[in-house]
Amino acid sequence: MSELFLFFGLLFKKGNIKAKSKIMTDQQIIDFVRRGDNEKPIKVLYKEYPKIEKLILQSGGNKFMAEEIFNDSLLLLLEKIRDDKLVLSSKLSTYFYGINRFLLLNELRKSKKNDLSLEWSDTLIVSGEDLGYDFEKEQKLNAMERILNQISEKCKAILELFYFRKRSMEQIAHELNYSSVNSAKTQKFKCLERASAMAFEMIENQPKKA
Amino acid sequence: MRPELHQIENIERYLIQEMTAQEIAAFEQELANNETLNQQFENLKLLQKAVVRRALKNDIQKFAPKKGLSFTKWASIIGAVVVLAGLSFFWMNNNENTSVAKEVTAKSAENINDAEPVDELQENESNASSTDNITTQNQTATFSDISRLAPKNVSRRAKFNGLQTWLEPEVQRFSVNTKTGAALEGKDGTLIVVPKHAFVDNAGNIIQGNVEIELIEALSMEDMIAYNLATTANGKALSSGGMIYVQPYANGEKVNINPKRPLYIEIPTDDYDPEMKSWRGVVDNQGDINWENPQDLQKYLVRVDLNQLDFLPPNFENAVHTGMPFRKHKVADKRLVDSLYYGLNSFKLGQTFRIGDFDCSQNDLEYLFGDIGYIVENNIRDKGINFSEMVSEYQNRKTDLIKKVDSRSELTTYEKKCFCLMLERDQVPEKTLNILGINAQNNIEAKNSTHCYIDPLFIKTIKTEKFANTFIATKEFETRLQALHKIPNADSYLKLYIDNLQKNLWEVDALVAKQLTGEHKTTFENFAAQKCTNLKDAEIHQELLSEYYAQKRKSFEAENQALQEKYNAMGKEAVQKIQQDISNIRVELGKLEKQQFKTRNSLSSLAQNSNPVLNSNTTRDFSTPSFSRNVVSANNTYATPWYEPGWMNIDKYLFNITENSVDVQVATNVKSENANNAKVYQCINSLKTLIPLRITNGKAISKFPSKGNKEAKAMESTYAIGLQWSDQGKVLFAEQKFNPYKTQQIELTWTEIDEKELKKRLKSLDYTKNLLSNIAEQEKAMAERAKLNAQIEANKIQMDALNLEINSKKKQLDDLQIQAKKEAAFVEALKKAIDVCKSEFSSIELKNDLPEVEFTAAPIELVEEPATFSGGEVAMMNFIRSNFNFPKDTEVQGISGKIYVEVIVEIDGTLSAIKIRKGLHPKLDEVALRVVSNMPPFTPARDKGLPIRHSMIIPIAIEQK
Repeated sequence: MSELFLFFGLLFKKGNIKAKSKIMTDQQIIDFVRRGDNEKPIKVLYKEYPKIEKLILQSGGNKFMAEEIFNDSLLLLLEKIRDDKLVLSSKLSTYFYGINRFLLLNELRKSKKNDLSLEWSDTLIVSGEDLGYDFEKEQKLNAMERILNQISEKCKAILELFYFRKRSMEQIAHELNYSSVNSAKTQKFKCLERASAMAFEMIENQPKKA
Repeated sequence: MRPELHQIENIERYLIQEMTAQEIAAFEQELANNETLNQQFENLKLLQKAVVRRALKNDIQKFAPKKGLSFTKWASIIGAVVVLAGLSFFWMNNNENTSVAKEVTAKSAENINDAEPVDELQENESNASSTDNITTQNQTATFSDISRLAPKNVSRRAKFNGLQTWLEPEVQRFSVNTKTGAALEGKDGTLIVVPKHAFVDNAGNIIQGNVEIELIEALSMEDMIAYNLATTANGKALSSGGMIYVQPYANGEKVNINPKRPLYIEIPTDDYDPEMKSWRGVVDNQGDINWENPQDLQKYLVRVDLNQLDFLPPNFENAVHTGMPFRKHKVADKRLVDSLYYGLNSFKLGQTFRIGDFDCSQNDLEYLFGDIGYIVENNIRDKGINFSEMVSEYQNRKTDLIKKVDSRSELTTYEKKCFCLMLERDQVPEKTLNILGINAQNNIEAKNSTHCYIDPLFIKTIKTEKFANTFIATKEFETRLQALHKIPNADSYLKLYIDNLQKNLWEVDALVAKQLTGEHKTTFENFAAQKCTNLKDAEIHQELLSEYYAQKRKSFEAENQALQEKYNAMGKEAVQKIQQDISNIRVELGKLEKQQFKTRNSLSSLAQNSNPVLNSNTTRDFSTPSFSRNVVSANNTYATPWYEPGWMNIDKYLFNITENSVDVQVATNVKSENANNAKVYQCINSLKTLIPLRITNGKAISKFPSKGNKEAKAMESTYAIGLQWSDQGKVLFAEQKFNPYKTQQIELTWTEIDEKELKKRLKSLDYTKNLLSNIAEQEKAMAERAKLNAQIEANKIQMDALNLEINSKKKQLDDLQIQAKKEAAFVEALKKAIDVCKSEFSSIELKNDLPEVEFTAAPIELVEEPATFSGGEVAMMNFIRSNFNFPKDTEVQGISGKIYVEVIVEIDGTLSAIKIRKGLHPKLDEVALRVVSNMPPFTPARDKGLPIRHSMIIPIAIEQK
């Protein structure tokens, strides 16, 4: 299972990031993300990419790594922001750099590069503990995502509306044309049950790889 | 709800913090003690997070400003283990920036490794115990036979009717009786409707007896490569939606298709593209195929029993079911639903209108509009369909009714009911509303809250036998009507369909789309793109198609039955609950069936007892439930009539290979002496595009459109596929994936593989599952199982939800029954009230020779102060008595009775529009008219303190001895 977290090189063209998006304050970014409006925050945060790429290259990574790490960091950051418990002790960008640095360290460790003293300016030093980043949990999450890919479209839609878009069951019943809120609810529970059953199944059949 | 679900509900409530402190404590304690619950809890927590993560990833991919970022890891989560296992090796050893070509080499190096064990197996002939090996050997033997016969260096390729193929095509053979015709279904879901007398010999004579039909389906990339079916048309690249080969034989001789009775072909697709056309394949003398003569597809409509179609607005039927029991109805049967709709489809309870003492909301809704409905129906029966005439008649009646109210004439009960409807539908001018004292604002609110935009009467009209042979009676039209219901003022669009019954459905779709804007426009443009034709073209296929769909439907029904039985067998208490109320079940199951029916998009049919239509060597049992093909929805098949035997392709034009091209050099590594036996294809598997490349001096140029092309994104994942025959008659295979916009040069590496392995390799090109490993297959199987489970789940969910609903309904039942009693009592009371109204309309009598007149003041109860004769009623009676010159004619001697004279009292008190409402005898009527017209001006009627135009009736009773 450890392969799951090996980052790998991918084919891509040298990037040219256009910084068209307007500037947003940290609070605006947080507000936008919390209400599920991710477009602007993503575009704004992407403006950090060239700098982060440079840092990663200087720290012994390469471009492929940089992209993967950046995207994963962005994902982690958005998740953190959505989690209402996040309390920022620094600028959001400083925190974001910190996540990138953390993930890079993680990577370098895996590829047996032990030069672990990365000096990045304007970067918060965050640990896995700070981030709540747990290797095992990430693996499980990945497995769960695969399960999600296998459940029906209907289920995907209902779960996404509920957990991500935070719609009420009434709205969902209406949007997805259920005859009643009860049927939508039952459907949702069934989806959860099914996915959970698949998770159990997967745990049992897990290939024991090194 | 089942206990398992209950547990999930609990966990969920805990997670979204809906529990009370007490519940939380209890839950947490159980969590600590119950291992299963704990695991379930962990799973659901993860699941929630995964849902959010998945959505966030989507957002990031969607909104990342930089194109072409490496999201592969995210995108291919399904195959993550495999991809990573393959590439991690590569990653560890390549720290420098890596070129595309290198990466590809690494991959194919692996492929070679994969292939080795198979080769060993094959060489180990003494152990050849598996049938696969034997087959392979036989195959090899055949090839070497050919090579012995053929001159050296001449192609050893397999041939099929001139086409050079890499693998022998899988031919399906059907036998069809030309007297009856047949509907044939290929194993990949192609449907061929063969009408009777569909074949002719070279001289054009119709062939009698049995005809054998050969069918090859090449719907996947795999088949297309294996059979060397390139998707090019004279130097242009096409994107395919599937190819087939159809060839009829009679007595072993090829025969032609009767041009007057073409075959009708439907090819299934998951990804309907309206740009597709049908092309005819021509095999050149090199054994390659070229596509010609693109024709628009024409999808036939299948006639369906009108009674099986749902023309009512979405959810109307549900609303009626929910409203049960209504009045005397416990179960909402079709008739009640229809009549409620036709009567008044969106009557809003709680919103009350009054016309005088007549309360609209207390109307007996049922059969309300019956009379007008019958007029329309009679019109149809007597005069044939003349819709505009019927509409104008209906409109006239409406106008008359409004006039009548305006002139303050008395309304009959029936007219009042009609008027209530018009109020609901906001068809009453404000002026008229004022006369009735109805607040226009209320009325507008009522209108805004209703979703009915099509006059129910239109619907009633088209759902009649006369329309049973038009496109109205099709599932496709039903879909359009459902869309129309959502559009304001849709009457006029519906009328477009009705006025153009002779046109192709898609033409009318386009007409309607032209008049619409926004999302509705898109909806109808999409309808038009389905290119549905009409019924009449399809006459010769109609019967067979109908039968085929009937068979299909039966099999779906059987399948549903099986699913239900399975569920019943589980002995869930839910089922027992259902059995408590049989009538409810019947309603609910009816709904269930209908929904299942809908989800499958299956067509019902006229024929209930039709016999299986298929006579075939490769017997296919129609009664076996099969998911291979979702029966006919306009969106999941390409369909067209077909006139020529041979290859047919559903394709669309993709790009011109020679124009604005981006070139990639392919070093083919094909030895020049073997060039005739080799082929290199450019294969864009996500578009199902296969372009053969010309090999010159071992090199080939693969051409792509410039990056601006709308399909360029799909081309970023292109394969170069190489196939060649070795001197030993074996197949050499090469495969390279590349992105033409990132690399300029690739090189092929060849591996010798057997037929089985070749199939496997080709299968992997199917772009949804381009992973070779067992894990991928396992996951695929898992996904399929999940799909099946989802079907069963869907049924269970339906049942559970239904039970919930049934239970809640039962709780309401008592209330509803009381209410129903009240309602019934009210209807009785209302009827009495109406009788009273009639008796109030009392008369005056003329006694003896002298007419004695009595005036009843207010025939219409709508005004506060009715008009009066100057000087009062007595004065009027005297006026009539003294002016009524009784004719001396013997004709009128002895006649007694009442004459009703209708007048309008204008605001200034003068009388106008004097006419006989009900006469007694022309001569007497004439006198009565004269008397009334000679009357002096009245005191005008007043309403809300103002004089008002008012109609009244003056009854004159004549009694002679």
